[in-house]
Amino acid sequence: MADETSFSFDGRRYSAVVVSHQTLRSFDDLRTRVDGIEPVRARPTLDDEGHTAWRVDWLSRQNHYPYGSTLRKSARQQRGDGRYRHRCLIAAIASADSAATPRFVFASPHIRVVGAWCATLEDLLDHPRPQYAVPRLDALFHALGTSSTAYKATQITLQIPSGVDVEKVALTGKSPLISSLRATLAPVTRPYAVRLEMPREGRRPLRLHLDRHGNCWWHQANDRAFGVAAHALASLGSDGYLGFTHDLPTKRIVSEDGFS
Amino acid sequence: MRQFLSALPLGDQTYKITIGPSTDAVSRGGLVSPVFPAFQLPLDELDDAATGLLLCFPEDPAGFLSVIQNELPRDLQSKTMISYGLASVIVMGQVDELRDLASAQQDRLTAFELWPLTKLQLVEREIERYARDATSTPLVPIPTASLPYDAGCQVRQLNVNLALALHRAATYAPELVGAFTALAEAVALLVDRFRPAGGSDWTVDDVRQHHYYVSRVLEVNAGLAMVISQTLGGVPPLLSSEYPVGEYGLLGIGAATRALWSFYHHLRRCFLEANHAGRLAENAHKLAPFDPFLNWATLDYTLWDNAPAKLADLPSAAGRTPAPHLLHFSSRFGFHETEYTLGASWQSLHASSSREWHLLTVTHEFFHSQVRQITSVIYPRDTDWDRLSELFAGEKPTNALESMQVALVLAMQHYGAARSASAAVGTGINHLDEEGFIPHPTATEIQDTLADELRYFQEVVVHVLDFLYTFHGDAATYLAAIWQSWSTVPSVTERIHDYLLRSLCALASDSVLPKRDAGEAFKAVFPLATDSLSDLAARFDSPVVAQAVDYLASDLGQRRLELEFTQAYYIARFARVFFFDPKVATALRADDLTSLEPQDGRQYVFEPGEYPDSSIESPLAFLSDRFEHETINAGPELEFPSLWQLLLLVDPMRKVW
Repeated sequence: MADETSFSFDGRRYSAVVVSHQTLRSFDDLRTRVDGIEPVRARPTLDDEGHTAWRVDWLSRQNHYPYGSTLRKSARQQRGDGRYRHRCLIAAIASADSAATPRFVFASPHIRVVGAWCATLEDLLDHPRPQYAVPRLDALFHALGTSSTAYKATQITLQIPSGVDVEKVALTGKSPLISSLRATLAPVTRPYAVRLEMPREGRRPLRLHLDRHGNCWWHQANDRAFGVAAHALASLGSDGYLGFTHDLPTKRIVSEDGFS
Repeated sequence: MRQFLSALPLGDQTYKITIGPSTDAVSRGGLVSPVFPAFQLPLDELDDAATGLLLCFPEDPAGFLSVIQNELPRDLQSKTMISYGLASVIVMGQVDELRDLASAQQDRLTAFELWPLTKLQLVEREIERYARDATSTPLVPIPTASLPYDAGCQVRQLNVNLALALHRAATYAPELVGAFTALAEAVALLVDRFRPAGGSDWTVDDVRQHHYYVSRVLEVNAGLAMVISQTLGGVPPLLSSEYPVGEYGLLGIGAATRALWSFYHHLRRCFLEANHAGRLAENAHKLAPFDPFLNWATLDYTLWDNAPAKLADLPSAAGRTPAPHLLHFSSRFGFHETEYTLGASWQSLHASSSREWHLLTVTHEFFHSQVRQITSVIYPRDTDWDRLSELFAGEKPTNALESMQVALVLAMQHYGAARSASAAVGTGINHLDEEGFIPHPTATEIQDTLADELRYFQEVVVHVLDFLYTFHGDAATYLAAIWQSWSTVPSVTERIHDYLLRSLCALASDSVLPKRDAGEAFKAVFPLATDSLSDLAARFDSPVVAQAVDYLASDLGQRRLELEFTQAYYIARFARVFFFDPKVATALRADDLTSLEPQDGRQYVFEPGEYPDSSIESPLAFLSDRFEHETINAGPELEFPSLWQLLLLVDPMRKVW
């Protein structure tokens, strides 16, 4: 039987948000302002995509994994202060404007940990509050449906605002954005989410899911996948497909099973 | 939670300023207005230590409150209040800090007044004021020289009312500038129809026509007076700008009324883009006819679904822009709509999130104008009556317009006959023969039918549209909404049968049945209505709802409803195909702030006291989400959520003229 305490996060779904705050200019700023972020290693674990990322333990007084989750036992309680260690990933991604505030991708194997981390940030970073990235899906759908890009949409989720029984429809395939079904549905639907396939050399592409509130997730076989996801989010930002809002994305998550 | 900001004159331009539960200042010549803590936090005391109040006129109240919530020091939240007035955000604090705040946020404010206080006393000449320097292109006054005296007086008043409204809107509610310009253009066309002065040769018809057009200008003037008072009242200098309703006298109700306009703008924009009446007028006479089922034995509504004249599929056409309504709260008429005015019930001002006075009811009034526009295209012209009689005698329609005209008459004819027959249920009188046969009418009889039944027809269609557009086919929520709203209208009990029939017709418009037969539809919707209303009666104490449930349970009630429904169902299907457009239903409810399948069932995740960064894109989706989850009835605890809801609706970008 597998040892739960040595639970591997690899091969799991990771949920993430992209956050920005004017006082957070570096990972060290983040560690200084947010108590309880401890890198697992002294050096960034990933840098092969031009961004820096850390595998960290985030210490919190509460175990944020839900009861019944196999992850719950992975949050070891420290002796001394009794805080729980939540294994997470943080990447600093550059924005297109090098003078602008960097953005941080915070990822965890459970959305509740992401939500709790955001709530902690909200408390600590007042005046102003942090901002979160939200994808501009209208523009992204238009671009992906009309031009060639480094990534492609292989699933789109459409909301049917006036539907009483059916609220959403997901189209999957090689190019759902240019399908006749999507053309038929376009007048009565609104973009809600997208699954982007990010190519990886010699490996299966990473599937990055994004909803319009700024929640993102992917399945992660190892830390390199996080690097790909962070790189993808950076690309979306530099291509102009990310906006920023104070509204918390994690309040608008559908469920742990997501919207796929 | 509600308190009153009071300004009590002490003489020599000095006022005592207090915040408390009392309105006593009014009886001593003072002014008051209700205020609430903006963020549902305990409000700091306005005491001797406070040296000022900043009364802000934000262009976008929710946006400004979002800045206070997200960008500014947190302690400001317990010093911030909201009000119904154009000065919708009020901050207390030290004068220097308030001056800095006003300066830093000046771009977001159309105006402000900074009241320096010394031991809670305000000296009027020490007030610091700012108002944005905004001007609009003045309107060219409509000439009055050639008009008869009575008409000239009205037009003169109109010119001045429009100039005043435009001038104030340019500064305090810029989203309305286009509305007043559009209204001026529409009314100028009315004045063109006046007869010139010196009408010694006028016929009776001339006189009648003249007064008809003058009365419409009168209505516009009345509407403008309400708008100037409600939407554009309560502007600097506040101590001199008294709003004539005591409880709101100091600050007025400008922000609340802007919310009403904003909701209306959203509805209007979606329908203007769809341009239903314009497309129908341009194309109906060119499109292929459909079978209006003169012979009801051949009824098959699926044929209508594929008709080229189906509203959603009509080819595009040049846009028609009807004159905008003038929006206001009305304590005399409640929710109502006329050609130029649209009123929300006065109670919605302080209880717009309650189930009885919910602002959603505005949609019903709005749909009256949409139904009127489409009906006016279909409605037969003077030259059509004889042709219609020929069609009833057996000739085939040659285009979609003729089919629609026959269907319109047929709908009213059957509905009228059924109403007569149903009234006789239990009396032994039978107006219909066993096959429900109605003889072919003459041209005169057709005109009489339309004159008698048009109002009933339009009411049923409006209910269908409200059910499909506003409640997107959610039967339980729809029935709860309309019946809780009607629970405050005693006259409903006198015509409970009519109201139940409309409810059933609305539900039937969405029932997809393999056999599109009125009897089957009745079997589907009758128990649905009975269950929903019984459930409502169990949790909502209303004699009106209880009476409706009793009527549904009675044998006589059921028999009458079934008899009328079998005829009125035709109207529901007709409305579904030729008055409803699913694309508009989508546009009305589209909002990126909404979430899919959220855990607590809410589509919008924020609660009263929270101000999202992004504007509400769909007031309709937001209001219906609030309605679906608001479980309590009107009471003091709903006053803050109601005002919060209104402020979130105000959107200066929502202009469509």
